[in-house]
Amino acid sequence: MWIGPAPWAPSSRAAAGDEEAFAAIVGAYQQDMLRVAFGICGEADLARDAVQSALVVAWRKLATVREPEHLRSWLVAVAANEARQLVRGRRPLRLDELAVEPSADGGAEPAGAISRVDLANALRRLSADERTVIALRYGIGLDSEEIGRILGVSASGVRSRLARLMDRLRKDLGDA
Amino acid sequence: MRDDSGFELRFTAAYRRYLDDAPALDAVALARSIARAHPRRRRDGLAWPAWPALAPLGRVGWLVLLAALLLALLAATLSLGAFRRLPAPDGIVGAGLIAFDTQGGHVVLMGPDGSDVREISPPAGGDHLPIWSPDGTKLAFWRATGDRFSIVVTDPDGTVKSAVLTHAPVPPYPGTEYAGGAPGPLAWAPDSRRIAFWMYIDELPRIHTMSSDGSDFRAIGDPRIPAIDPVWSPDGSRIAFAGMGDFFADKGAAPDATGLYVMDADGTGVRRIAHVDHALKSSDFWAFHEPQWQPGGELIAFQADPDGTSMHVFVVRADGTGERDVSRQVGGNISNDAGPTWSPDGTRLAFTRRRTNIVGYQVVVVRVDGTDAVTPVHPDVQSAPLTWSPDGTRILGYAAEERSVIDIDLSGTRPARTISVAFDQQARWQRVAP
Repeated sequence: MWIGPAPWAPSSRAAAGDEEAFAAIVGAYQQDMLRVAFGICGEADLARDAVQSALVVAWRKLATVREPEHLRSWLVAVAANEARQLVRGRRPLRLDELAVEPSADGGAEPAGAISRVDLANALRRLSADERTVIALRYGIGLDSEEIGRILGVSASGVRSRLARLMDRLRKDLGDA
Repeated sequence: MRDDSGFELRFTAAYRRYLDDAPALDAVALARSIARAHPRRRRDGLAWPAWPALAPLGRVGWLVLLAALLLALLAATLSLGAFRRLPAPDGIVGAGLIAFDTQGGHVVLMGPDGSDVREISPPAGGDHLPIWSPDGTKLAFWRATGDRFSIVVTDPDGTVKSAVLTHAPVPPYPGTEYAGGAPGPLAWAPDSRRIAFWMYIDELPRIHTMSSDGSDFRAIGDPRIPAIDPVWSPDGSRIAFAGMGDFFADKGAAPDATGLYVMDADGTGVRRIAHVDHALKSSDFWAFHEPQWQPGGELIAFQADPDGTSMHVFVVRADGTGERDVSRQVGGNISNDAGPTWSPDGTRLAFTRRRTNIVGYQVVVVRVDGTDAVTPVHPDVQSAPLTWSPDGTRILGYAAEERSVIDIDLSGTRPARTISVAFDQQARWQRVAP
């Protein structure tokens, strides 16, 4: 299901160099790009860098998108790739860095919920590729086929990796 | 009994709350400014030449002719790459074929000028991290089959010479960045007869070596030191590697095992050589990763965080003396210097430096004594790793554009170019006789 304005027509106009059409497409999917980038980087500044960089790539490469129905996946893939490139070769987040960041809603968490600090620390222990799979599935709700298309692996491979990751996160978050 | 769906629901809810902290960004305004800053020429669709103009051969005839020409070109390139050999492991030589892996897990070969791109992996993929033997006669890479990894050795044309089934298990805790959780890069010995690599034993990474035909397979080194990223000394007598103590402390590793080490090639005489205090005490996953031994020399380059704020490039002698902070010698604004790579003659180091306040990285090339730093070579490269061409004139890196390789000419006689391929993690250049 597409969320936001249908991008069909803007994509072709944007590919032809229409600035406003490009802006409209970005407006439709910027939240997905930011959430995925943040899920991979775990840092707001890096996520912002990744999306900025992704927009440059998207503008240059938009004409290569042959199937407009995959535009959302494509933009998210570009953002994810930029985010992975940014964290590649970079030192990982430390637990204390994560622990002191305030949450956006002031820290209130439902009773019995997984705490934000525990979750952030568990995510920190994953590789960037693993955080990518998590962000695409649980962050923006892509299915295994869409994720497989983005990562260049089979849908069954995505499913098995997700199952392993869930198992590991369950243990890591004390839910075994 | 475990409530799998219950956990998944709770995880999803918590994860979405976590992503609510994603940064705000006026991406629409940014998109407009990017589009204005890089106006794209509007153009009508390009039409193929009218087919009647190609008569009398007709479409089929022209296609056959074109295919024959491409095959001839490919054969010529492969001939150059495959049959001109250089036995010496170090020094300036000719640049042969470039091998790299794709995000789909295919190993691809292409000519030194980026032409004649072809896959040598089976359709199912699963191949990663190709590396040429120093004599240019063999290519080795990891192959994932099911939940196991093997090491495949091929001829330069991609013909499988041996598929060495190491049966390395999928890492139980793949803290690496390598797609599919594959172990790290393979390392050929200078004589092109042995390969060193790391794989897990009882959930701890250990260095292994074997002959290129798969015989004499063994784990080496101290089993209490989780060891990754082996690299051979130029004479093949020693191996340097990164120790990962803190990261595997809950798996029985020695708690103070983080660091940079050298051992004899048979795994004896393990000794720590780097002394970056902060990095030794921290659990930085990337500290000491992928050390690089100077061709023909005794220096080892590595990356480490000296103060908890930024990653620097260092060099140290193999005996542990003479440690120097190359990043500090180069100066400038150091945010994240990573992926040091030696020139083939061992006189210069290249590494990537994350730019501050601007998206992206730049390449720094510096003489081994820390002088004559040149930066930036190209503004649009992404983060490490970099790969020098065997003739020392070019560097390959990640391009800022998605899934592309950037080919930087260090002589400055021609502009850097982007090679559009589905590049994933590692590009390596075949050494051939000049």
